[in-house]
Amino acid sequence: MEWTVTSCGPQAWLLRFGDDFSEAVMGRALSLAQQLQSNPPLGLREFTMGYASVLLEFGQDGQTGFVRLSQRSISEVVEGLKETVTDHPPRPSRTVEIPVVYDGEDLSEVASRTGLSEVEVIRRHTDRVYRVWLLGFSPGFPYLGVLDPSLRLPRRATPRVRISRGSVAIAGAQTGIYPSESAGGWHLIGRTSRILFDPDRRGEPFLLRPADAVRFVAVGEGDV
Amino acid sequence: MFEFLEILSPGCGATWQDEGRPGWKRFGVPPGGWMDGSAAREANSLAGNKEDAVVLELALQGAKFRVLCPGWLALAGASMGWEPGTARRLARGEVIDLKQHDEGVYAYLAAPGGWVAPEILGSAAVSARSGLGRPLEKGDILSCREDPQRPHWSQVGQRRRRRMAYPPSVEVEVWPGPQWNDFSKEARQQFLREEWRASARSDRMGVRLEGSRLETPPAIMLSEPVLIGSVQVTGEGQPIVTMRDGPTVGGYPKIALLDQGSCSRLAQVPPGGTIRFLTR
Repeated sequence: MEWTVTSCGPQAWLLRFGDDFSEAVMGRALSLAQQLQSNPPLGLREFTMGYASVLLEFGQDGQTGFVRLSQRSISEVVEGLKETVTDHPPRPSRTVEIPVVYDGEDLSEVASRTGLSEVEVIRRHTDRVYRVWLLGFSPGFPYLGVLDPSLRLPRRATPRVRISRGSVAIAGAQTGIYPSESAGGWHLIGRTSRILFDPDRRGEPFLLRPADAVRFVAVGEGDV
Repeated sequence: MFEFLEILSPGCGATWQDEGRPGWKRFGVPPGGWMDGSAAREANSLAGNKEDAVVLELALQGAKFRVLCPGWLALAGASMGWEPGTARRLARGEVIDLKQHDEGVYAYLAAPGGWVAPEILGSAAVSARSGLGRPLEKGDILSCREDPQRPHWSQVGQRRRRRMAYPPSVEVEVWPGPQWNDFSKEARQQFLREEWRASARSDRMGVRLEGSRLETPPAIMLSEPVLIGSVQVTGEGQPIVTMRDGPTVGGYPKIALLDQGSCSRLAQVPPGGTIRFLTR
């Protein structure tokens, strides 16, 4: 797919660089994130990764004052990125195991909507090794790909106002873990006691980093 | 450090805020920070502080404090029974009772030198839903960095400005959102025609709007980054305007975008107030 650039107001642009959950798109996302971090374009205040997109926010710059990019100069930024970004996902430097009690509020609904038994839903969720494609939504929330095709459901029509910390959830081709109490629209299938985000944990506030490999392990109430 | 106030009641929400913590969005950390930057800066200026000093953000009504030592306190933003845009000299033992709700949603209290508040990832901004700090509670003692009796300004009583108005109905200009073209022509026209009502379920994450159901394109399969001010439309066809503590990534289609100034104005629309969107 061609890269596309969509302006988001006067100071931000959304770059899209893929349209599927392939290894190639993930590789591009991780490679792009690394490039933006090590060699940011002038005036870049913030970048936020999606699965196949990145939001570039420009603003105040210490040296040059206010940076206002034109559509033309953003094109140059994008051309520069395209030259350095590759499609090869880096090898995972580690595998993190997440113990899960599978008793989520939506487990029975997920089972009936997918036509599977609850045991089979759990088996298929724990059966594969996921990759941390990006962190987003709330601090340390890992977007893990990709989910078994038989478990894919659209998001809930009405997001929940309150989801408790440690909830393990699925939506579309994604699975993830809510690191803190928050609102959200995914289907809740279980919960973990692992702390995904602790701002007081010196040097490493986030349990998972982009590109990590992750495995879910079904455990009983007493093991979590 | 000067112990200045004790919280007798935090009301509908009392949190430390500053300009927020940019640079962490890619770890899922929302920028956070004051909901109405111009009111927060005004409070700091009234207290003789730097613009970016830590302020106390109050929501709607009901906050109550006891004064522990004499000194100056400035209030700006929403009107809660104390005229906004003024600084007052308080006596020891006095009780400040902000129980009224006249206008706006968020009010800011600033004290000389700024408040003493714990920093997390480089900012004192509390975002309880993200696990960044906690809202203030009954019994908490609030300390400021300088002697509240000796603020850094020379023109006491002359700092009053033209009062900011927070009408319950606003019109705000929007930019097209990344999925603007994915919405039908009818949905786009309806979005701009509708008088949207601010829901009581609005908070620092998002201002939820209620009105006739918008016909929406399907959710985005590949979750995308979200900019503050994005107007996301849920599966129920109701818009949510992403605010300071909102999610950094999401899958609902975004029909429009508000700039920072418009977000501040929207934040001050009380539940039941109305919003109309205009194209730029």
